[in-house]
This record gives sequence, structure tokens and C-alpha cells, in this order.
Amino acid sequence: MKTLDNYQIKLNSHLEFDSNFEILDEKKSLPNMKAKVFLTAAMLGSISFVQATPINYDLNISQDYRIESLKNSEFVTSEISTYVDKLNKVSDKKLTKFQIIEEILSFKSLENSWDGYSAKPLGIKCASNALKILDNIGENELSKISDFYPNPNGTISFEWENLNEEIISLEIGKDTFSYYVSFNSVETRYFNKQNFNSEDISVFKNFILSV
Amino acid sequence: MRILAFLKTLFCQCSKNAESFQEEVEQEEASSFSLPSDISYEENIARYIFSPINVNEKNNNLKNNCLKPPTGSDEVSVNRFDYTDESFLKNLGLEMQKPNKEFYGLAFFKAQLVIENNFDLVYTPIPSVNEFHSDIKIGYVVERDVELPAEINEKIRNIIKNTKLFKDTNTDTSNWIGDEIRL
Repeated sequence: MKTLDNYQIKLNSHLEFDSNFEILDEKKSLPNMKAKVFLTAAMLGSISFVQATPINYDLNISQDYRIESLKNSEFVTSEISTYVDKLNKVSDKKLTKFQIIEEILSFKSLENSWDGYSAKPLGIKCASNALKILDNIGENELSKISDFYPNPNGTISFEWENLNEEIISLEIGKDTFSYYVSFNSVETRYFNKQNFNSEDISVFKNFILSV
Repeated sequence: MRILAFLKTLFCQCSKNAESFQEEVEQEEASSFSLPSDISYEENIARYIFSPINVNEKNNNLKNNCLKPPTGSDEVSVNRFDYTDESFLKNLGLEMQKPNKEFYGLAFFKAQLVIENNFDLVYTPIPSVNEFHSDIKIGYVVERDVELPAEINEKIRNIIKNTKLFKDTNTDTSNWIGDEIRL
């Protein structure tokens, strides 16, 4: 029994099934099919080509449709990813004054040789000087502290580092403090044997505001 | 009497020979274990990290305090890693900490970094204990509760930025079972 593989259903003028359907000759239908396939592929190809290249729109022209560029979508994705990373960094580094004071007290309680190399716990005067400096720095600047830690000889260090790898590194001793300021646009500056008076602390604070 | 004198002379001769022979053996042993006294730029240097206080555990970065000398010293103890291995160093490190069992890992950097930052790197073996021991000399004797000059802090930070940390916090075994050391 011959099977009907290619046939066309016809409707009459009353949109009713016309029993006189015709069997399409495969050989004859092929060129038409090929043409249709070619045209369809050409249309699809042109659409995908349009999608692959960025299109600049004149904002004055109102459009009812949006075309998403593949390149633009990749750009947007990477920008979002970078933004999220920055948010995470900011939220990770946000410290409160209370947290910092708590940590400073814990450094005071360290045992001798806490680093395995004869390190001493944080000195009392060093701890109180650290609190003095922190009192003079605003909460906003405190929250920007990127790291702080005790040193083996009993001093304490604080670092403010931004996303451009610019850094202010401070070390506080029992009588004086030292710090360096490393910004990308200028030569590194060093400040040694600074006193815990309002003048020297104020100079230091101005640098913190610039980070 | 002559025979006795002869025997005495012979005996003294033998004991002298034995002593000099022993000295020669010791010298041979020492020379077979000796490392070159000059540390080359490309050598990998290892520093023990015993405490998590030396590490920012959020990002696994080392802190400056891991390369600062203790009070009264201008030296930072390190090891010439290219002539030994991590298991030997870990075993030795645990021995050093007894009775405490503290070990965090090893920090590695090139000798070049130390020299480029104008610190000295000197081979200072500890015979029969640690033939790979060396010292970084920062040129400034640290005092209790007195801050380091800012310039030295910056140099230490320059080294730390290019230092790799490999963790092994398991103190139950002296074999290294932590991060694979890839330098």
C-alpha cells in the first residue's frame, strides 16, 4: 500500500476540508522545499547576525522592541559581577569601634610566644595609645580599616587599603607612632616618631580621609 | 726497659693516629652535608607560620607581623627550602613547639625579594639540628613596645605581598599532609 508522505490539505472556499487533496510529487517538491529552507536559514542567519553586533539606537526614535546584543549582555554580566565583588569587599571590611576595641583587648591577653618565636602580648601603653588614636578618627574611617594585628614586640598595627591598592600602614608604640602613605599618584611618604598630640594625629587623620 | 719505651712510643703513636682519623671523619661528614654558603637569588625560602594570628583567614593572606623580629633582635629565622622538604620542616617545627602542639603552615618567598628590599639573607646553620637555617637581617634591633620605622614596615610588606602560604594545621602527624607545595 502506498503511503502518503507528502500531501497538502486543501480547504474549499467555505473553509471546509476539501476531499480532493493532492499528493505532492517529492521530486517536484524538493526544489520548493530547498528554497524555503534556504530562505528560512537566510532569515535566521540575518537575525542572529543582527543580534551579534551592537546596535546604537537613536533615542528619539521610539521602538517597540529591544534587541539584546550578545556582546553587550556579556559586558553587563561582567560589570554586575565586579560590582557585587566590590559590595562584598565593602561589607566584609566594615568594622565597628566596639569590635576593634574588643580585638585590641584580646591582643592584650595573648600568651608569651604567641607566634612561636618569643612574641610578647600587646603592651598596655600601646593598647591605650591605639584607643586614643581611634577616638580621634571618625566611625566612617574606622569602618574602612582593612586589617589590624599585634606585632611580636608588643606594638599594634593598622592598615587602610583601598581597591586601588593604595595603603596607609600605621604602627603604634608606647610613646610614639609611625606610618607610611602609599598613594598611586605620588611618592610614598614616611612619618616616624609621631607624637600622640592633636597636631600629629590630625595630619594622620587627613591622610585617612583621602584613602 | 727499651722494650717498654718502644711499646709506649708505639701506643702514643696509635692514639694520635686514632684522634686525627676521628677528626678527619668528622670533617668529611660536615663537608658532605654543607650547603653553599651563598644563597642564590632564585632559592625558595620558607618561614614557619605557627599561629593563625599571622594570617588573615578571610582571604588567606599573610600579615606583616609574620616577618618581624622578636624583641631584642634584628633577625627573622627562615629555612633554605630547596635543600630540604616540607615534612622535615614540619617535624622540626613541631619539635620546636613542644610541649605545645602548634603549627599552621609554611610561608614561601624567593631570596631575591629579601635582597631587593635591602635586607641581608645569611646562611646560619644550626649543626645537628637544622642545617638549612638562615636569617633575614632587617638592620634594626627591635625594642619592646617601640614601633618599627615606617620604611622597614613597607619593605616587609613588599615581601609579604609576594609570599605564598601553604597550610597544614594537623599536628597529630609530623608528615606534611596539608596543601600541596607548588612554588
